[in-house]
Amino acid sequence: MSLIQDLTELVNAGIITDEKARQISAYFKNKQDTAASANKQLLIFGILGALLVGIGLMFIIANQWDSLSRSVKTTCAFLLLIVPQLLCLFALVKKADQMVWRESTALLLFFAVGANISLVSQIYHINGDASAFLLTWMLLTAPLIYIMNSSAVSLAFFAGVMFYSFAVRTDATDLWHEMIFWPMLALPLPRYYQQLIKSPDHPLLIMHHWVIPFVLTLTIGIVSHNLGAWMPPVYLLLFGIFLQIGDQSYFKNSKLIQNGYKLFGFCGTIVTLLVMSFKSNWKELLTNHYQPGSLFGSSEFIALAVLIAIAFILLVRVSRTKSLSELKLIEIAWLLFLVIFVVGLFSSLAVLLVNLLVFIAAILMIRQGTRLGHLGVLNSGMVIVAMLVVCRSFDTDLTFVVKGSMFVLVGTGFFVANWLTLKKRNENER
Amino acid sequence: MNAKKLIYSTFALAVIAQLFVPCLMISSKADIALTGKEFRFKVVNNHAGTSINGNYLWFRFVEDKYKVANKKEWERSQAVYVRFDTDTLGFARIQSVSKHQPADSFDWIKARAFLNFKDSTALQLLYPFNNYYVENANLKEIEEMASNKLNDSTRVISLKVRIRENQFIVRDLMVDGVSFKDFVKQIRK
Repeated sequence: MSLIQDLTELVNAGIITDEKARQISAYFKNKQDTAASANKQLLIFGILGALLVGIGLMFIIANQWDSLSRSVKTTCAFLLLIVPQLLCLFALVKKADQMVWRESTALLLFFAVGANISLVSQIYHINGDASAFLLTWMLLTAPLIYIMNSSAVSLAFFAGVMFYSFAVRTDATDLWHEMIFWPMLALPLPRYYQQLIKSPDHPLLIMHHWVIPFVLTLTIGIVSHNLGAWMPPVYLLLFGIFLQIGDQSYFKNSKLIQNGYKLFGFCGTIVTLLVMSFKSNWKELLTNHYQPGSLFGSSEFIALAVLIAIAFILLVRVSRTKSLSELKLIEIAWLLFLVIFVVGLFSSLAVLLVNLLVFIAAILMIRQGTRLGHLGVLNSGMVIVAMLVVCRSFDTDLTFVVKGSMFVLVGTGFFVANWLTLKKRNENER
Repeated sequence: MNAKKLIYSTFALAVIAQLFVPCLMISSKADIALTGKEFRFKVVNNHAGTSINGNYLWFRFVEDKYKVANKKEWERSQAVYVRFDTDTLGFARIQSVSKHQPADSFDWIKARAFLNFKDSTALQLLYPFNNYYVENANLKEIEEMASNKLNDSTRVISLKVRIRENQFIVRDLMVDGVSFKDFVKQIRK
């Protein structure tokens, strides 16, 4: 900053020309960038080297582990924790403005805490639930996300919470064991939101756009207990919410690869609809008689209600920026599915309606792809039709000739649609 | 400056918590060693009973089933609380199995219960202390011993475990009233 000020002063005083000032500025900027890049490389290889030495030492100690006394083993376990803590302190005090230092030391401490608990458990033969271990580990490391301002720990934390949700499904004896999953999942979100505003293009933040929908997709099943038949609308609402988040103005200029929400939302919606296009998946819903008391108090129903509220809030937000007629069918599939689901409580007509929904969504995509000359959209629509045909060939009593004809028709459709689109594109280019 | 102070003090608190938890684990273990009640769990001593995997000897216990009146009240697999007392021979016996934590006893642990398909009236229980750590140096010898000497139906094998409110310590493995380490020495002689 001071160099630029000095140069401006020199230019104003007529000592150097504008051109010379630009050249000097460019020279120092180039020098600074080269030095920063070299420092970063040095640091990365330094960390890599330290990790390799650490792993080597661990192997050597592991070889003699059984012959070590309990007190030596305990000292090793605590050293494993204390050294990363000191490194974190150093990064916090001396290198707070250097992201590589903060991220790497914080991540090291994150794993050191887990390793320390595991080692103490092994040394003293302390058994326990995997869920209790993961809960302790995550709670002890959650502050690092904010103290060290670390995106890497935030990502690792999401993964840890996901494994907690898997473990707690078999270990839980009380409802609070499962309930605590939700506040834990919410812990890194304020920082995530802060980063969305502060540094939207940061690679680790972009990884969050993938990790969060991935974790939620795999963990939403935690709400399922006795009413499994009520989970499809829960999943579809979740994917609908992802699609709406992916459609927010924040992602407007992002590439598809940077928008995990959109991809998870789209694929999840299609897969859920295809799963629900099978007759057998509606049987339980139709044959069970649900008591309002137990239904309204169930975790599945509560999750459904909460997700409906979130989906509608997002829909209202989206409707402010674009009219409802501009929305694609796939984006409001969750809303249509809710209606179909209610029909499914009383009639098997729901199966037909879901099949129709998938088919129409695919046809609209093909039409959109043809209009825009976008082969990706066009072929996505074609793939959905093909998948629907494959699904129907499993559960309908059609003859092989009819099934074969269906596949031939879809295959021909692929060729014709792609050929026509390419032809149209070439004509437009001329 | 204030923000920095806040960050440093939060970091100090986090570091203390990270050190405190493993220390608490060790001290509570020491506490069980002093205050926990000792039970002897009789091991099934046929070829299905004891096996070795990794550095551990794995056991099946005689007392690992619990009769239930109505199996519909239980899920196929769930976490349960098992309360123990002692039978006339001094071996551990299941007093009760419940879905809720016992309030009036310290002698219980959390175990995994499965519906027993062979016997639809019983729950099959899996305790967290169904193994015994063997040092690497003796591993090969113990492996041979496990398949020959330990799976001999004439021997009485039991695992000494101290229990207090879901915390436990495996004290020793007893073979015909002799500590396992001494038993290994006897066999060597």
